[in-house]
Amino acid sequence: MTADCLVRFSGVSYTYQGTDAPAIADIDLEIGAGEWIAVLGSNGSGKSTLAKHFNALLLPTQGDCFVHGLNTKTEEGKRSARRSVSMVFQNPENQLIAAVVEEDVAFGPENLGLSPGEIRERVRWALEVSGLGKMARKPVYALSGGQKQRLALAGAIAQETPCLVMDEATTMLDPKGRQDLMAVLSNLHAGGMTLVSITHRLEEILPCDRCVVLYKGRVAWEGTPEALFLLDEEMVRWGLEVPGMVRVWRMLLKEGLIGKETPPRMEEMVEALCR
Amino acid sequence: MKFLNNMTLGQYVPVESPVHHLDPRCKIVAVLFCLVGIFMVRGLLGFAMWGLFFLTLVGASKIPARLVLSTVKPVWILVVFTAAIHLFFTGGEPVFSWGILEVTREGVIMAARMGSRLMLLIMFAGLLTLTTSPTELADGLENLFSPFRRFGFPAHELAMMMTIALRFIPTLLNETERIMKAQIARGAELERGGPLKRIRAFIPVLVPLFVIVFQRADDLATAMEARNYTGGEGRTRMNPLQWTAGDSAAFAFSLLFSLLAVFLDGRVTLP
Amino acid sequence: MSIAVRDLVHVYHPGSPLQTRALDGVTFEAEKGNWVAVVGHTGSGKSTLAQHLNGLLLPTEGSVSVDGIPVRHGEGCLRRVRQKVGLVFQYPEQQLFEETVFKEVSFGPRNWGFQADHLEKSVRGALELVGIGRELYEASPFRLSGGQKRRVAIASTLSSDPDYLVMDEPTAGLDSTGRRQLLGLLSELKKLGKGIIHITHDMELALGLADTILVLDEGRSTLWGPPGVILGELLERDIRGLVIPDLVRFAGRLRDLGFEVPLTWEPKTLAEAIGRSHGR
Repeated sequence: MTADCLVRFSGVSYTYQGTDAPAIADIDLEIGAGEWIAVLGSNGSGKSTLAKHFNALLLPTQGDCFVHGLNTKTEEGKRSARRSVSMVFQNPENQLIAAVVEEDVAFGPENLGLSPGEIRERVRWALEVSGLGKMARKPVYALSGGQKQRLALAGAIAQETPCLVMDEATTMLDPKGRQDLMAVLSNLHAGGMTLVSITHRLEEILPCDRCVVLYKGRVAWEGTPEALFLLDEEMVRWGLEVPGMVRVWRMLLKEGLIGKETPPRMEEMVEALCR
Repeated sequence: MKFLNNMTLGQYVPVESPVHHLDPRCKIVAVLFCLVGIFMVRGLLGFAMWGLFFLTLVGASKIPARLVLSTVKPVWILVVFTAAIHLFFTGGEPVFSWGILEVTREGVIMAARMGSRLMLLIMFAGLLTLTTSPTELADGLENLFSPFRRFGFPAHELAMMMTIALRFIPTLLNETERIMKAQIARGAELERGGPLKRIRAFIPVLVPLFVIVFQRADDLATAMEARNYTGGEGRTRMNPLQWTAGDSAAFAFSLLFSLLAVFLDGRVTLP
Repeated sequence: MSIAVRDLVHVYHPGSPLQTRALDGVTFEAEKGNWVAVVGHTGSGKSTLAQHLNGLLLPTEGSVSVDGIPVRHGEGCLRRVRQKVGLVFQYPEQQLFEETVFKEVSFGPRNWGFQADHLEKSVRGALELVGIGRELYEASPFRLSGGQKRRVAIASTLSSDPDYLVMDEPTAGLDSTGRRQLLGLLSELKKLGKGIIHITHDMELALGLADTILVLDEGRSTLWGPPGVILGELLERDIRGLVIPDLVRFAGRLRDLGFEVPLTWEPKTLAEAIGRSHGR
């Protein structure tokens, strides 16, 4: 186990009550501080089940999860997990408790028993980072889907955890909503936050350091986004769709028109082609 | 695509006003005193005083009058029905006859009285929810009921349930509308037929709503747990309730006004 | 015969202080066997427009007619229109309520008065079209996977055999397999002669699959034409709510730098063109 490892999964399996087959099985995973990891998989691959183990919402039926070295099956470990990992879920509507924007962000800090002054400061900062600074007193029902999701994100940020897990957080958003959310995540990562993006959209893995592919509840592959993009039939088998840009990148690589060092990003590709 | 606009049903309207800044406990108890007072006045003077007090409050709250009035909309049938019962079925000196229906002088007075009482009652309560966010209301109620916790009264849990229920009213209304439309698009007749037929016709709307609500409850519980919610113990507040001199003044004033209205109403009669 | 929308205006809560002009002049025509994509920013009136096409909403001004039947009260117009135009809302699986898949898909045709054999045939036909096998007919719709639920929900609109199908973001929330299946279904329906009206945020989808694109902006129809024309406009100026697909932008950049590549959103076409152009 590496020194600054934040989260470690060791042989983790989880079987839901009343079912025979495990939803996830034999998962070994290590996430270091400051990394941005993408967990990819089609619907039914076990992504959400895996996600809920990060902050001890679920405890493995086999194997162990460690957050900051503490086993989440212990009281200490569970508390550590909840204080170290916050989460944003798929449905923006079903995460928001309060009727007013700033009151919802305050919910997490209030549960931690902080002083009113400290809560107010965290709320102010979290709203600022999420781009909702001017909407503190707005009623929640007046927000768009993308804004609601950013509000849920603000609520998670206000908990000041070193790690943030986004469980399919962009799935229900429109393109603008997704764009705004990804921008906030980039800023958070630049500021040193550890991020775990659980998604089926390959467009979102470009900024990530590492990708883990889940297939039928098991880790099918692990590596960098660029390495992942070079795979073909495996992607089809795993139910993942390669974005158009990446397809072009692959074809240009094959024809030798660009070198392997060029990432599948527009600017770099344009530059490489002009040389 | 909004059928009952979200601004109705007394949803919180965040505006800067002295009424908004009052402690929710003050508002809740003051409203209760006013309600008792409203039901105890009988004459024109009493109602006039309450009407004036109400209008002053509306002005002070900076909430547009039409919004306050709209809180009566969902239950206007009840108001009209109550007034009608009193209008047609109070015995006394007949004033107007229409077939078997007879309107008496006493009936007109009773109808006016009950109608006004109901309207004032609804609008006062509406003013409360319009000027107090669900969280504030919940905090206020939780605080007021906390002495009863030692007897096992789940003050915090009820307050939390209330906050969540109120917050989801606009969402549920939208979802109900959407599902109704989806079923109408498939040929469901939700508007026609006798009561039994209409109730059965609503199953395609009720079942999906139930599913949505239960899923929501599950998701919310998970989200709350992820945000370290473990019940009321040890929870602090971003805006802790602070009783100020202004609250004492407002409270005292409401109480005194209530007593005055009832007192004068009994003593001074208008021609 | 088509759905004809002319100068459509829709005002919510007219006369009240909450009045909103959701549609402010929309004109277009949707024909059978044609695929119309409706695009526009959030709040541009797409959903409001969709609900006029099957008479859930009535025009405040202007007119909507389906195969000559006007969308207005009286003479059973609305009922006839609703049989001809199937409307599938976003996340349609939320409308499921019956005990079995078969009953769910029978709900629509039963309401429209389909009798025994015709009913049976329509239901089976719809379920086959969406790829739900016989073994699931007696299953509870609530026990199906997300993708299966969506397909059952769509089947429950198809079973009434509408001539036109209005779909609001049908691929929302689906993974790539689900998406591909659904788009395949829509293509199939178009081949069967149905008129498809597809509301979407995905410009790549619209450009790639539609015959004509309708652009809405603040409740007004601002552009109406085939994908090539719309793309041309989009490259000339910023249209609120519309995103130029990445590949098209890439192609545009290369063109600016002298490459002879078409403005396409198809990876293979672009890659081959780059290959040819690079040689020179």
